[in-house]
Amino acid sequence: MQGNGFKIFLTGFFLVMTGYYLYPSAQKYFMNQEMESMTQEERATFEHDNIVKIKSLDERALKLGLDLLGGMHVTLEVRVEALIRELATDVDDTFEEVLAAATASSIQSTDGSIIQFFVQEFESRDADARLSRYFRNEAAGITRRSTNDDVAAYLQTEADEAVTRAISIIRDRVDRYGVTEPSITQQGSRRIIVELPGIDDPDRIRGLLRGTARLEFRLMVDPAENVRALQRVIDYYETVTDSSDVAEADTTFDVNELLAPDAAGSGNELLDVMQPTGQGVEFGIVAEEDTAAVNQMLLIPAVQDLLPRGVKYMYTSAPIGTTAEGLELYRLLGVRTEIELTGDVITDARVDFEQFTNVPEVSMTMNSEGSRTWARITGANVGSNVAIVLDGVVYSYPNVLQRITGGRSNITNLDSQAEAQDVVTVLKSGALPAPVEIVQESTVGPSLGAASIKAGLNSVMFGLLLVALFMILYYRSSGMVADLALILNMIFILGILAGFNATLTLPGIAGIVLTIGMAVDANVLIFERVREEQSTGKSLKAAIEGGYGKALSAIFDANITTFFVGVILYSFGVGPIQGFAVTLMAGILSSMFTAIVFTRIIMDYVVVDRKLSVSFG
Amino acid sequence: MRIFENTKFRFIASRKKGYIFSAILLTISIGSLFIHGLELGIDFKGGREFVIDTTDPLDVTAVRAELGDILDGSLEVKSYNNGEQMLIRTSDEEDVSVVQGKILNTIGSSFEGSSPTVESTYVVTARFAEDLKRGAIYSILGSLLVIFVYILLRFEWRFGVGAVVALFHDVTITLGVFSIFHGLLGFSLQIDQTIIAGFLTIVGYSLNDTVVVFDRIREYTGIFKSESYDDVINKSINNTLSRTVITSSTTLFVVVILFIFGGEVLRGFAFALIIGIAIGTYSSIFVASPLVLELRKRAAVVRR
Repeated sequence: MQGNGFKIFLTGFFLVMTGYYLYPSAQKYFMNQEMESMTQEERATFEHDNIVKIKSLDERALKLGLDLLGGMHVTLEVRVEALIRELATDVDDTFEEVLAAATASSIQSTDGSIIQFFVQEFESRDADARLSRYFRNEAAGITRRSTNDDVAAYLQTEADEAVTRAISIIRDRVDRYGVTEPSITQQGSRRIIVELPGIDDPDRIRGLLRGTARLEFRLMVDPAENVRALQRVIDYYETVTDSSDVAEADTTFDVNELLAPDAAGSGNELLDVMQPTGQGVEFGIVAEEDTAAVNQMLLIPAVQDLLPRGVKYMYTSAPIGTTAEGLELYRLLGVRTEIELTGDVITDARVDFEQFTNVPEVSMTMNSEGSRTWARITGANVGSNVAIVLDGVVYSYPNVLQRITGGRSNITNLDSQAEAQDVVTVLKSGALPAPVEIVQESTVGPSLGAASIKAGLNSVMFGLLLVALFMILYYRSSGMVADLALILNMIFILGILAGFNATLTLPGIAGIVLTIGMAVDANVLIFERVREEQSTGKSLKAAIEGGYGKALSAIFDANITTFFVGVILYSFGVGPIQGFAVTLMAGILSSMFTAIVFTRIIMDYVVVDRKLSVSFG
Repeated sequence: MRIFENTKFRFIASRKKGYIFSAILLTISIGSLFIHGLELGIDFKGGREFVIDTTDPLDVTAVRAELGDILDGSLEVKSYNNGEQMLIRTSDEEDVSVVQGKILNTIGSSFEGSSPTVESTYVVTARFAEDLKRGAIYSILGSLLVIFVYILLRFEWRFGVGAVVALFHDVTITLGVFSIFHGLLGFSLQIDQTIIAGFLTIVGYSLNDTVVVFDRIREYTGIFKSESYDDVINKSINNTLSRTVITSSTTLFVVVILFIFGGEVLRGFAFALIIGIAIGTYSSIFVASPLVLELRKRAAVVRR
């Protein structure tokens, strides 16, 4: 079989490479089998003894996607617009309008920088206006004279840094939570992809990932002011509702009267969704479902004017009870907008249990500077309440009994020990520089993943069997050669996936199944050509030569276009779809090789060297 | 075994029938796309999807009624795995954790002893959905462009036009089938990312088929110079017919297997491929090649 030396060498080379790349996967498989048979204890010792080996195998073995393995995949987006607002001082209406317009434009573009839109929008309103009036910052070198370009560069640096820091903080949180083989990567300019295998409690992870972990200590509203404001707001909604609903009887409301348990259906828009209390720093009680509606009502400018200056209304973290329908109720509290102390001063946090009730809580220690401030605040406000706010929610608002020295404080009213643990985790990892939002999330439970693997394997097996049988039936012995090529093809595809460190997903398996059907195409093209050549009376050897030669251009043109489609799918698709594109491309490359080169070696060996006959059916 | 050996079907002579058939299919498809539209999945519309496990099978209608009271926006409840799992899809805009809590609480309190747990979730915000939609549109347009340019380079422009028209034909009709049947079959026909990948695979496949015939036309044009172009094309189609049928069959085999065994997630994808491969095979014979002929004839008339 002269002249085939190079082809044989190539096939051998690819086989060796495939073996090399697939060997760790096989090792891992057998090790898992071995570990399955062990007892819990044996397994723990085994894992401990072989930790390096296990890690290295995990890295080199063929990776399964989270849709097969089970786990959680989250795409986070750093809210750059929130960062911009935070960096700005003396924010006015123009600023808010420009920021809103820039945010809207950035959503419309693929990966447009919101900062760019922000500057453009600002300049389009007044070409001479200077952004530096909002962003003066001595430390960053932004003065009154700084150009808009300087400001844009400054904002961009801050934004980039915010994303980088967010990644490291989130990685820290995930590590503290304890996930095996998490993957945290940046995508585009402001997105972070977090992949957590084996996670099945999405709710807890959501809290862990997106909590900004801003811990704040704030003073609270003056009780007398609070009651007066409540009365004014109720009156306001009374008149508003009256004008739209004249039939309703005109009654003046007294706060004390309103403490009656059910104010719903009163005809007052606010009282329909909030039970007013006005006791101390408490404004009212709101059901979980209505919190957003109440926020809206308090936010309208006319109502803002009626509320005490420098006070913001926030909800409590834990429900205080439930309604008859089972909806959870939360207190709405008046909290001063000024932040007295932030979580930066916290040096240590740990889960503790309340001395008498054994309820979990988080106790925190502050640094010396924080301790001094804390002592001053508490000393000046004995008898008043101080709110401990985490991410915009009031966890506790203890009444200060005495000046607190030594920088101790704690967060109470936590749901469970798990929540306490998570609060400790986020406090220790630090606060995110800008809020993040979950823009996409998918969780696959382990049983669903296992079902997908089984479905995928079944499809591959039955597909392979059916196509292989059909080929033998239709093309006889040459069909068998094509089947050999098909099996080799499957092995090569897995080798390519492992070699390129690609991840096998469910759509990826679909790509393999599809490849089984389409891979034989090249051989079909060749065999049909051989038959045509034979029908012109050529010898078997000549017919094979002619068939392989003439089919080549069709095979090439037909495959390369599908390959292009794969490339494009890979570039624009995300996650699982990329998995599909990868197996599709791998399948095309390897099927061309096995169908053209490998089958030719066999044919030549059988026909030329062994002088045997091959049937093309 | 030889099934389509030396066939002498008169494809070109009867191409008008093909045109009429295609025109009817296209009209129905486009009509349905305009009237009935397509059902977009969460990928392109945004929304939340939860698969909830319960200890006992629950009555879907009752669950839907209970959840409808507390969730805003659209709601879809389906049961699978013998009713032990339920798929709940909602466009409620509230925080994911809040929506998840509402669902679990409602099912837990309305159906005693059901102890619902979350098996899987899928959440896409409207903003992210915009990005995915843009990606899908770019990949479709990009594929068509690249394919057109490649065919132009390898064949003459008439082939490029024929191939791209055939691709539009295939994708439109497959989309039409999705539009007509969504909601009528026992599985989801929502257009999501996987379906887009399916459509692009159809594009690749249909082209693959078309190119093989074109390759033969190119070859025979050089050999049978004395014969009319009609005959050359007809002969090319007939001589590649066996291959066309065999490859279509093996590919159909595997996608049918994928449809049956591939599980819930891949069912819509496999369905798209079944339709697409059938239509793609038909179009490479009855649409792409005849179009090349029509374009050639028009050119001849103009020259005269």
